[in-house]
Amino acid sequence: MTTPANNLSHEEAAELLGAYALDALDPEEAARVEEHLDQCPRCRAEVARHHEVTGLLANSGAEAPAELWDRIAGRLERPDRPDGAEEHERPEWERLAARLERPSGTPDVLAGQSAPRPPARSDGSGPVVPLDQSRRRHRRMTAGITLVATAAAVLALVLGVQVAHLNHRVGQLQSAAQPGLSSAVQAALEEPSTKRVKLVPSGPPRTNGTSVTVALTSSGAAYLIPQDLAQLAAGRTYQLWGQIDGRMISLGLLGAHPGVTAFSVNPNAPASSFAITAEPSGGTLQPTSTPVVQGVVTA
Amino acid sequence: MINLETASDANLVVAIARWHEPALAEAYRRHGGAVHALARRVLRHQPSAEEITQEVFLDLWQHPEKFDPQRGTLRSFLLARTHGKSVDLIRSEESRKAREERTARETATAGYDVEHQVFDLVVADQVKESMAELPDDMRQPIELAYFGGHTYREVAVMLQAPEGTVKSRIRMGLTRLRASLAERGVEPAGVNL
Repeated sequence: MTTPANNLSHEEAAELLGAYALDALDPEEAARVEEHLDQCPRCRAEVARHHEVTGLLANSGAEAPAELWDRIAGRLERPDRPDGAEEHERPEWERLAARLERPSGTPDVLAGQSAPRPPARSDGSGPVVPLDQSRRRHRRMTAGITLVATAAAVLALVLGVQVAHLNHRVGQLQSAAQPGLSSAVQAALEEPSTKRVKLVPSGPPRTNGTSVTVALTSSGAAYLIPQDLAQLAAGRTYQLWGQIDGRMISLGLLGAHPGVTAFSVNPNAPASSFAITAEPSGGTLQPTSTPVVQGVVTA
Repeated sequence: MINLETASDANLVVAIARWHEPALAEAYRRHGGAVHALARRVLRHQPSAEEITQEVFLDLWQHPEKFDPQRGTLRSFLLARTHGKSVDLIRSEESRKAREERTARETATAGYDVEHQVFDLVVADQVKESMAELPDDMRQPIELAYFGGHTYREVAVMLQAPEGTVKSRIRMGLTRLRASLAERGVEPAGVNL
């Protein structure tokens, strides 16, 4: 284990879990416990159990005050819907639905057992698979960005134009593709020829669950499926990169809190690896920071 | 569209993510009473409790993805958020002072005690019994921390006990409470889904 010195050991963190569940730690201590929780399914399960108990302590059986609901209802905001759409889905919806609509229902932690998060399988098929079955056949492939892979020297100017162009396209794709995206992703993941690339944080192996799966279909349609990717601050965006002929090419901007995103790559100029960096909101021509996650495409 | 009355909490959250307002109303109907009661008990101040209750449900509306079913039920998620927000509020310096004054006043007029008793009456008997069964040195720190909003360090000072002892007793007390509730047929895991 390569835990930095200021990290709590499992035993130290475990001792604090009761107080943590009661919000009775100092902010600094609580933050250190949370760091440990990100990595420790056993402690997460214990906190979940404590929270169930405290939830009962608080339970008065009282009715929810009706007039308070009126005030809540009066403050609900929803974003503008895309034209004509009945039900506008949020970008994070796919991820949420995948987590909530799993067939097994009740999570294991509630049975009082240690419940690790769904293992991040090496084939990248992790916890994103369960999607609405009824929609599966409505396969709606989305037109994607064509990845322009250039041979030798690429002028910065050209790249600049390309980045701007791609940004625009990714933005459109995300919102336009949402209603049919789950079935398209499902179909892609079921297709044996689809390659899965797991992008994970670099450095020592972590178990906090942050990962991004890229599904590459043989036709060039590709999907990006984020898992626990932290939301960026205002003015920042995630940017997707593909390494093509040894060069990092921008595949587009993903926004501050990406959901499942469709894009496409040129099958004739395959990327050897993918990476996602956090950049200023306009995007950059070249990565300016260490990738948040990255992964190599295996043959 | 989902049948709200029979929908699981998880289904409700998915519908909320689709901006389906009746699903949020149903979540409020199921859990709003507990959220509001907890905020009121911790804050001892009706207007603040109402504000916290609104915030908790508005947050659920804006960020349903924060609910992770692997970390517990929707109710325990909402109550944990409620408790965290309430405690943040009372720990801010200004309101701490106000609360001390209020507590003194309410205790003096006995108004608070009456309200408190009524409140306690509606808490499930099994929970009360289990709580009463806990040794004092476990029950007190849990009550002071959870309902009083005190940190375990503050509790240690109040009870004149070592900090390490207090944090172990809190943890042990919660574990014991759970076992005791289970003996009475109250399965914390089973009540909300």
